[in-house]
Amino acid sequence: MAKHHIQTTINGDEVDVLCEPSQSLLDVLRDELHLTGTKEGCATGDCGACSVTIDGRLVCACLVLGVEVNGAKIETIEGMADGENLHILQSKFIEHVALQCGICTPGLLIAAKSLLEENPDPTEEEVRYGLAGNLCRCTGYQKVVEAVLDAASELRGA
Amino acid sequence: MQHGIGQPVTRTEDPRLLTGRGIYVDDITLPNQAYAVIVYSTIAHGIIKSIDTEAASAAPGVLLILTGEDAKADGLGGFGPAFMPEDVGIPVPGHRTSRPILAQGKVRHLGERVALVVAETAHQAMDAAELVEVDYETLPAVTTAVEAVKDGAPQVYDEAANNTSFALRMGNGEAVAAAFESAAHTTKVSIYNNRLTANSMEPRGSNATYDRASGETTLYVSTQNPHGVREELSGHIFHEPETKLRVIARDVGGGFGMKGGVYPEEALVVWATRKIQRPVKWTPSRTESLMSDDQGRDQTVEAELALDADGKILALRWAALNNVGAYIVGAANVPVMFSLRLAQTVYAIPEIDVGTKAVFTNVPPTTPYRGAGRPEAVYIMERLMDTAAHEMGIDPVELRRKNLIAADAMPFTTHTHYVYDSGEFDATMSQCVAAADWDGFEKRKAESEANGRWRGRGLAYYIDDTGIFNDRMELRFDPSGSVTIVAGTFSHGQGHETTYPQMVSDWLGVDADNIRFIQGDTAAVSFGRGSYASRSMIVGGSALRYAADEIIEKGKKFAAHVMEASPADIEFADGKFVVAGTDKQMSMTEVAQWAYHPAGLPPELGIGLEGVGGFAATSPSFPNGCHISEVEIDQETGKVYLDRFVAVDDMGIVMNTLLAHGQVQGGVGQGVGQALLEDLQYDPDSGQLLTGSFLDYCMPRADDLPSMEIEMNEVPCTSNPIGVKGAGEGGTVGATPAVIIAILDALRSEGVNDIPMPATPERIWQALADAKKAA
Amino acid sequence: MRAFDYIAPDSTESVVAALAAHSPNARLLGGGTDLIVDLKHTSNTPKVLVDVSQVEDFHGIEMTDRGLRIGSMVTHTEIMKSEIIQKELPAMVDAAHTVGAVQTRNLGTLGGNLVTCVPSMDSGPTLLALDALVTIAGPKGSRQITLEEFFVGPRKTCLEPDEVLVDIIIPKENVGKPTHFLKFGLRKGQALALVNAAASFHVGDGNIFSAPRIALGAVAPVVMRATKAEDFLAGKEITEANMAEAGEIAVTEIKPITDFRASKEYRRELVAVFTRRCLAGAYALHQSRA
Repeated sequence: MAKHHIQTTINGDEVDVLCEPSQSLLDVLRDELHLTGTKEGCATGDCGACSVTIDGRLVCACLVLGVEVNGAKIETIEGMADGENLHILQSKFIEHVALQCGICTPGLLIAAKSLLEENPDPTEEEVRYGLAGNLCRCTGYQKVVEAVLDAASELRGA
Repeated sequence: MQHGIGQPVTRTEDPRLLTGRGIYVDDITLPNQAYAVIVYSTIAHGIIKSIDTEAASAAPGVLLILTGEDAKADGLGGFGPAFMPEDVGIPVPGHRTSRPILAQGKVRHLGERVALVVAETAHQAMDAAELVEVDYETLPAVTTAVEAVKDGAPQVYDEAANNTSFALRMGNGEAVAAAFESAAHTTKVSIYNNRLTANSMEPRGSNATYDRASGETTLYVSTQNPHGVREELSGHIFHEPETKLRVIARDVGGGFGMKGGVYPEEALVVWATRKIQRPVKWTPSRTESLMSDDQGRDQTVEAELALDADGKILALRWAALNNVGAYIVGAANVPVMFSLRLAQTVYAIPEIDVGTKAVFTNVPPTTPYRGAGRPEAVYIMERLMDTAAHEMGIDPVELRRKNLIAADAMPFTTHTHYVYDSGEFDATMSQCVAAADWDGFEKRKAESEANGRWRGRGLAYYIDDTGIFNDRMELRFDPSGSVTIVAGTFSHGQGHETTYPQMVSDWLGVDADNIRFIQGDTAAVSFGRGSYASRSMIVGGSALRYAADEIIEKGKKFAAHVMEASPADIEFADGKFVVAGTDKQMSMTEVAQWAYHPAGLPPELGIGLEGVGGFAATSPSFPNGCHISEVEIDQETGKVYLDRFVAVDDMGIVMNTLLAHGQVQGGVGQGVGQALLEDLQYDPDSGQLLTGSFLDYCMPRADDLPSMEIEMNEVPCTSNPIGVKGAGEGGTVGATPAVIIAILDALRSEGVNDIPMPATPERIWQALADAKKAA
Repeated sequence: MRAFDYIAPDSTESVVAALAAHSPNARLLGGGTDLIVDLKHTSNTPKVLVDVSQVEDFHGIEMTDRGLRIGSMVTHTEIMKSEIIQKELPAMVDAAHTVGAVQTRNLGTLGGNLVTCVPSMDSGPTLLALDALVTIAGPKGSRQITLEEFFVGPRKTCLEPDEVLVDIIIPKENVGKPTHFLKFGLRKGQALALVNAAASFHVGDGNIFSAPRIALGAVAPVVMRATKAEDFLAGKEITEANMAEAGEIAVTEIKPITDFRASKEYRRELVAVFTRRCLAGAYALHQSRA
């Protein structure tokens, strides 16, 4: 099959890439663009490790085809910090030690960022509900939830 | 000191991991990369009549196809057990298995490796793998230990009668029988400790590359134990010196015991890269992980407790079957033996008689999974204590208090020859009871009832034996005065990159920014045993202490030379070498720099400053603690809502409270998973995996868990120089019984006295219906 | 995934033309939450994937003369955020809330959920309880049928290979009808329903059930109505006893199966409980509005 020419903006950079229709966005990010910060945990949309945003919508990159994102704006973990300045969620994840092995962390951060954009003042229950698409096997989620609530509070104060 | 021991220091590894710059094995793609796909057995038990690879070989992009016959032709070996009972001084013979890297003649479980296909792309390899035609003669399969030991059950090995590899028994059967005869009360429980899988969020994976110039092969792998992988592959598969193979593990996304051993795929990519002289990468799909990862638990037990009229325990007796799956490989015997050795847990029990059999079945091998035998032992004991308390009308806290080993009885030798060095079980339990607002329970219960929900409370007291084997740590200063920690242990989420430097900074007075950490590369770390069994802080931390001591001793000699004093007059404190009674001093950094001076050093001091420490956990440490949970149960549907969870843990001296709490919280999450959600289910007839995706193998999500309250009661361990006890597993060990006992407490008024794990809504509903029928 | 070609037409006509040209070797791609997973596991790959997400006709939520029109490509998240749905049909918001997790709700579409037609679908019961209609476009033009007719069997709708689902319409008289939806799964997020239930009714004069509807999922080959229970309720006084009785009647109408996820006996028990709870929930909504 012919490869498709896809033009997107990824983390603010305009990107041109050729991809097969059968490549998921996750495959395109990892294999074609070498943006390996987005992880594959299940490839069936159950674990959230490959969370990215497309035009501001939080999705699992494993459930989207690369050819579907032509013209879209994509944000991945690689674009979350502003140069060496970490996003406040990243700083709060460090402060609260909201990660252990770290493999689910990029997805959790992207999901948490999206959550706070939708709801800047969430309750603990809303944070837990909002992050239910992201599996973490190490932390029991507690420090993740604390970090997100703390970041929310600081973002509101700022 | 800001970065010193005990401080809640944030983690050095985190900025890398949370900006997407971590390097996990699937993030490594090498130039000219080829891709491997495994053909897995689609049946649980059968004879391979033939394998036709012709069509697959002709498929586009295919570079190599290998089968068990090729492995035989190349003289490759198989994986055996790290030890059988007879290897560790227990005079019990057992059937010893060898797991082939590719099946030869027979498959014994679904997901056994049958063929390897390597192609230019992963898709081509996948397509070609589907063209490999395996002709099986299907044999009857057996999936449970209870069925497997029956006469006439399908035999996994002809040589192992009744599918039993070995039977172990500990304690004094006669004395226990006598105690049961005279007991005022006896309690009995039947337990099935469900089969689980670790499901680290990073699947296993490997990538091997052969260097034509040096003849060396490098294997990148997601493992908890890089040196162990090298030792097994070199020693048992390829029969070659370990110098031929370099094993590297970069960031590893969780292991929980599952990545503690070595797997056929790791041998296969090494074998394949040597054949095609191109890098060969293998990344499993999640379904392949669920099917092919070694699994955990799966113990069936009949247990009894004898008590006197006052509730003092007289004797403990249980007989178990451990379903070890189709092969006994690696550390598979650890859970089998540890459940026995920890049988009496925290109680002063006059006599015990416990035994188990290692039973073969047609499911994947079991391996240590977070806890490994200790969750089984503790679950049995706590269920017995809870049931006895209920039957005898004694408050469950009171019954435990009557029987806990007293703090002043330490060191305490158990019937299974463990020596508990320290522990304040009663005080820790009291602390937890207070933290859990024990007295407010009745009010909460009434509120729940008003909402159509029963509320129950469960208390469990656990103990864990942590830290095995020896290990080696190195500290190497460089001419700039910076120091590198070379770790034999392997951090895969525990945060050693933070904690070890924290300790070294404290001990040697070197700024944490000037401490580098190396692990996980057999070419950079001369030896190590990796991380499992909550061993790193005990064994690695203690070895690190000795390495630091060696640095200090050597440093004194250098300092004495430079400051023209006698080494005996040099004192080291707060990072400074001081000539006693003078104001002459040198910092650790200055001394280290001097140690690399190009001239003028006395030859007997050598060049440079380095220290090597070794520590052997001749006795494990015994972290312990009390967990209390409260659940609500929907009276109509049986659905459980975990409402409160409080833990008070004694993990000895805590090096970093943030990280220690994280270990407890994560452990509790997995323990709750076992109690409520997680279950590997196989079709009993075909041996097919029913829970083969995340949809059906349910793990706790953020909204399934409550906020937990974690406290510590730090009782220093006396069997290692730094006072620590293992931190990694206790959460899992304590949480499972605490949740199940809470469920039973909620249902007692309805006549329910037992519930299987996981306690799904349907099982609770069924138990209620059965109780109603029986009433 | 095996190789296939991809096209993304931007009008209903061009979708229909593409299907005419390629069926049966074409499949429609909506949100993809089901299809992409399917394509990863099947060797039965279509030649062409027709992405229908660009078609304007398939989007939008608005009141029309006939009722509330919801484009088939409207995502579960869009349903949750729709002011008119929040106000008039909060049960649809509740149903959307139970689909997967945020990531899947942002991708998954109402039409996709219906077309996939698995017995445990989360969108079906509420829509059935609201007598929803669906618009189907094909080579002969478009046709409108009831959702009940649309569901044929497990993973099977009445869509012909050259047809496409355009939109879903909640009849005008049912926009605002008190409705309640409940899902029962083993966990909260990303759960598969063991039982889904929805109930709706108008409160008639004398506090009676008027036009009661009960719809159930995961207890029969397709999402189904419990018509005997509905008939029982019609015209009766709204009491807890009647709600409970309707639940018991609904149990006699379902055809649940036993699998490793749940037994049919347990599913029956759940149907009794959730039918009653849904009826009570719908009544509570009515009262809260009054």
